[in-house]
Amino acid sequence: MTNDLLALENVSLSFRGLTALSDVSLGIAPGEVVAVIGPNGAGKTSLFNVVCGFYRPRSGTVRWRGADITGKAPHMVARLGIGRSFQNIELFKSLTCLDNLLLGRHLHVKSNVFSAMLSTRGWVRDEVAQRRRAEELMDLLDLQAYRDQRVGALPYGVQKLIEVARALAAEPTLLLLDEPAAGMTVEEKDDMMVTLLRLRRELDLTMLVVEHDLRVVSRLADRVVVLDHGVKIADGPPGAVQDDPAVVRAYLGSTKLAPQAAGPEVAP
Amino acid sequence: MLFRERYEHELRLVRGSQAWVVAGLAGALLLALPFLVKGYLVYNMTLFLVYALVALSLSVLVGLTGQVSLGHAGFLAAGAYVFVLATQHGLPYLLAVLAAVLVSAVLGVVIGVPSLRLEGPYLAIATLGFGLAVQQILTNWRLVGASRGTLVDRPVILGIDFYGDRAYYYLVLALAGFVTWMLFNLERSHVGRAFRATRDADLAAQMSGIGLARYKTLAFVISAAVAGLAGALYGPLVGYITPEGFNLLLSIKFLLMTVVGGLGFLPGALLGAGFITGLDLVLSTFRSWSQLTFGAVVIAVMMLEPAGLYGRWLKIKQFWKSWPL
Repeated sequence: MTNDLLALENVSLSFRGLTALSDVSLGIAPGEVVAVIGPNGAGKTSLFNVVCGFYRPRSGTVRWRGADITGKAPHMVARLGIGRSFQNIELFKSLTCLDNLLLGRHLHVKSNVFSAMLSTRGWVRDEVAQRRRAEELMDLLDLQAYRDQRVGALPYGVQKLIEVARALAAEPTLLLLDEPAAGMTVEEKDDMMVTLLRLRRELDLTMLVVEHDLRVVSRLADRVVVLDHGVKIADGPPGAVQDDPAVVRAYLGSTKLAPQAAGPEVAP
Repeated sequence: MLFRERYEHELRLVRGSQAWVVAGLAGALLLALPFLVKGYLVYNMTLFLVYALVALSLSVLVGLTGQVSLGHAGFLAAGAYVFVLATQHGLPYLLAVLAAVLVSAVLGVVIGVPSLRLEGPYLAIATLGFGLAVQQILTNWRLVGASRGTLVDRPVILGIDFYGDRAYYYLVLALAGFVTWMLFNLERSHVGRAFRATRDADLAAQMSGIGLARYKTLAFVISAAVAGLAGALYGPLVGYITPEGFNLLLSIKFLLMTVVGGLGFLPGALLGAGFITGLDLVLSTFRSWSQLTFGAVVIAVMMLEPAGLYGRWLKIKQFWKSWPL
């Protein structure tokens, strides 16, 4: 489709002999929330890395608003309006929550090094404007309590949220979230899901989300894309995809198991 | 407790009455001391200012971006020799200083760009090679006196003679003070944040729109330029420079200053420079035992406080903040 915000066209990626992505095509329309699911090693994070420019695909194109951005450097991709949170927390650990969010706003800073070193009035105005936006975001996500704390020492769930907040601070058009709820307790997961649903409503975001938890996926996503061994095996609304035989096979294997009584084991 | 009402308050370099007292005392001490101490100590205080500049420059590079340099004596030498050449060609003082800064900055690019792919010990070795190469080049370069070295005059600016130790001290204080202020501004700005970001998590830094190559090179350039300025101030201070003087030991001493002072904090570099220069001065009376004692004291400091002198200061401040609760 031509009006897609982001489009992958026949993207293939391999490391030496190992195929990570094979002929994957995918489009995301503005305002859409798409979930990517698949077993471990299916190529979900590789897909993100291709979009962000960390990996260059062997073949195929990545298009942003119709323009070819394949192989663009990550910091240039970020400047186009693509934000990302990472699966394994990639926070600036020795900095405070506020500094992390300010770094998220880095690409909005217009001052140069010299005005920063001389602390010109223009720089102060710029910096204050960034701080105002960062504070607003902290209010929105209830992060004020952690404002001046080093993020490395904060609880896991909070760190995950700060990752999302930092990506949001850049005011991206498209937000890529790599397992925003991974490793969380049920309560933390619920909180994260509510937060993401609220953000979607309030900020009118387009999102591409990698997530394993189908409960989260079905509430959050308009569409679900399923990857298995680097191949896209399904693409559709959450309900339909969950019942797709190919998807069930990818997750559970092809052998039909005899229904077993799942009674508690009795210790001798 | 201090309440901040405006975002501008948070941007101030000196925040709160306590900090003003410390900064005021330090300033007053730096201004008044040359009139209170003996002549040779004024020389040593000037040396401290010069070393503090190098320690600060190294703190920006090592502390903020995590790039280790064992070759900063090379940048110091470059600054000193360019200054000598420029004054020999009749350039006025401030222009000669500027030339030293610019040439060192260019050297920073020359070293910084190839070093982008190097990290940790490998980068340390590469910069060590740079330091040795500079020394080697100067030793064989007839124009600047080769291994015999060269004389450096103290300047006369607008009819004011800076030949005296005290006069020269104030000249160095003015220049070093200005640059220190600029570096402190840099540290708390978006550039300082970006430097730290490349150190902590380079993937996330890139996704925040920070070009790694650009910022890592920028850190090298700023660091080299400041070390070059220190070189231009160092030459006239000592009066006679030889390639031998800019050796590996000096590079290591600069690194020692930033680490003992507290890695990652610019005020730490100032404390470290003061501590090491002071220690050198005290131990120079010991003669044969000085090296051993120097080593022992440094080891003791690092064992007692791995976060450095500034790290200890932060802990003390934290303690008194909540005292007596």
